[in-house]
Amino acid sequence: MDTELSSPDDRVRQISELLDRRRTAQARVLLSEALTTHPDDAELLLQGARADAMDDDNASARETLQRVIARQPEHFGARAFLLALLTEDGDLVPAEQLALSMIEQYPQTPDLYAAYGRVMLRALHFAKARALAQEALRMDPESDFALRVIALCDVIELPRGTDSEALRRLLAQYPEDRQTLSLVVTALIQSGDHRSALRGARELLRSQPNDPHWLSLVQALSVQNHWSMLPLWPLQRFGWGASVALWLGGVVAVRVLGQMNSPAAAWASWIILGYVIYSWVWPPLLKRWLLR
Amino acid sequence: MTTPLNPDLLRPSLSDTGQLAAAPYTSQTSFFSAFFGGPFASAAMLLLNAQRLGRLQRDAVWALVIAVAFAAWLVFAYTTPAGHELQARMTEWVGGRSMALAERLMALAAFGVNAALHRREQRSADLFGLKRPNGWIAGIALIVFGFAATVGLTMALT
Repeated sequence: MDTELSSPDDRVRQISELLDRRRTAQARVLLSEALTTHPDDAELLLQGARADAMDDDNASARETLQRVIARQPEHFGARAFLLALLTEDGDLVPAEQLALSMIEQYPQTPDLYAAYGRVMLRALHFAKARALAQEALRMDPESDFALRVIALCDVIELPRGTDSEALRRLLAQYPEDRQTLSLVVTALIQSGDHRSALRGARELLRSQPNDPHWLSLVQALSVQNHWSMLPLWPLQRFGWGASVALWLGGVVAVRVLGQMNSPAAAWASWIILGYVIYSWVWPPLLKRWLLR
Repeated sequence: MTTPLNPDLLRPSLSDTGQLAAAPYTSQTSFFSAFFGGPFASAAMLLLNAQRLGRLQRDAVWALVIAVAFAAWLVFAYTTPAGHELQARMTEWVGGRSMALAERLMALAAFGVNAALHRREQRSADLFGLKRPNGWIAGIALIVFGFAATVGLTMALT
C-alpha cells in the first residue's frame, strides 16, 4: 500500500477500491489513519459508513451518515445511502420522507424514483413501486436501478419470476454484475428451479467468499438438491398446492381401493403416511447432518 | 433525460406507521389452521392477515363469502331433504366420514382463496425476510375457534 498518499481524496479512492473488493478490515485500517488527520471529512465518513454496512452494522452506518448530513444537509451521497439503509432496515416512513424530499430537490434524477419505488415495494405497495420504477426507466432507459426494481416486482407478481423481461435485459446488459446474478438466483428459487439457483448462488459465494448470506443460501440450496430430497420434488416445486393435491389424491385412492376391498388400500394409507412423515422429518435432519 | 410525467406518484403513501403493512402469517399457519380448523378458521385467518396487511376492507367480503357459503352448505346438508339425500349418496361413495371430508375439502378451497389473495404479500415477505408473527398461538386459537363454530352450528341444525 502506498503510504505516501496523504490527501483525503487519495485515501477515499484507496478505501473505496478496497471496499469494492469487500476487504473491510484493510479499509478500516486506512480509514482510522485518515480520520485521525481529517476527522470531519464527509467522503471519508461515507466510506466508513460503507464499511459498517458491509459488516452488517447498519446502526453505526446510519449514525455516521446522520453525522455527515448534520454538517452538510445537502450531501447527496450521504442522503442517498441513508435512504438505502432506511429501506433495508424497514424504517419506511422516514425512508419515504427522505425519498420525497430528495426527489423534490433533484426531480431529474431517475435513480431517486427507482429508490422510492423500492421503498414502496418494501411497504407492499406493488402498483406504485412498479409505476415509480417505470417512471425512472422512462427518464433513463438504461437505468439498471430501475430495471432491478421492475425485476423485483416481476419476481413477486409473475407466476414464474424467470419470465421477467426486465431480468432478461439486466442479464444482457450486466451479465457479470453481482446484483443481477443475485436477482436471477431469487427468481430461480421462486420458480422452483433449485438446481440452477444453487449454481448461481455458488457463483456468488465464489465472488464473495466471506458473505454469510450467500454461504447460508448455498447451504440451504445444497440441502434442497440432495439426492434424498428427490421424492419431495413435487412439494418443493408446487408448494402447498402439491400438499392439497397429495391429500386429495390420497383420500380418493384409499377410498377407491377400500371399496374394491383391495389389500392395496392399507398399503396406500401407509405409503402416504410415510411420505408425509418423510417430508416433515427428513429435510431438517438432512440439513443438520450436511451442516455438521 | 426528461421530466417526470405523473405528479400523483409523489404523494406520500406512508404518512404514519398505522398505514404500514405488517408481515402476514406464513402460508404454513394458514394451511394448517384451514386443514384442522375448517372453513370458519380459514375465513378468520384471512381476516387476520388482511388486517395485518392493511387491506381489511378489500378482503372482508371474501372472508364473509367463505363463512356464509360454508354455513349455507351445513344448513342445506342437515336441514333439507335434498341435503339428506346428498349426504346418503356421499356416504355410499366415500364412506361414513363423508361430511368431514367435504368440510375439509371446502377448508382447503378457502385456503386456496387465502393464498391467491395474498400471494404477492407472501412472496414479498419471503423475499425481504420480513419478521413473521408467531403462528402457533394464532394457529391453535383458530383451529379451536373453527372446530367449535362448526360443531356448534352443526349441533344447532341437527
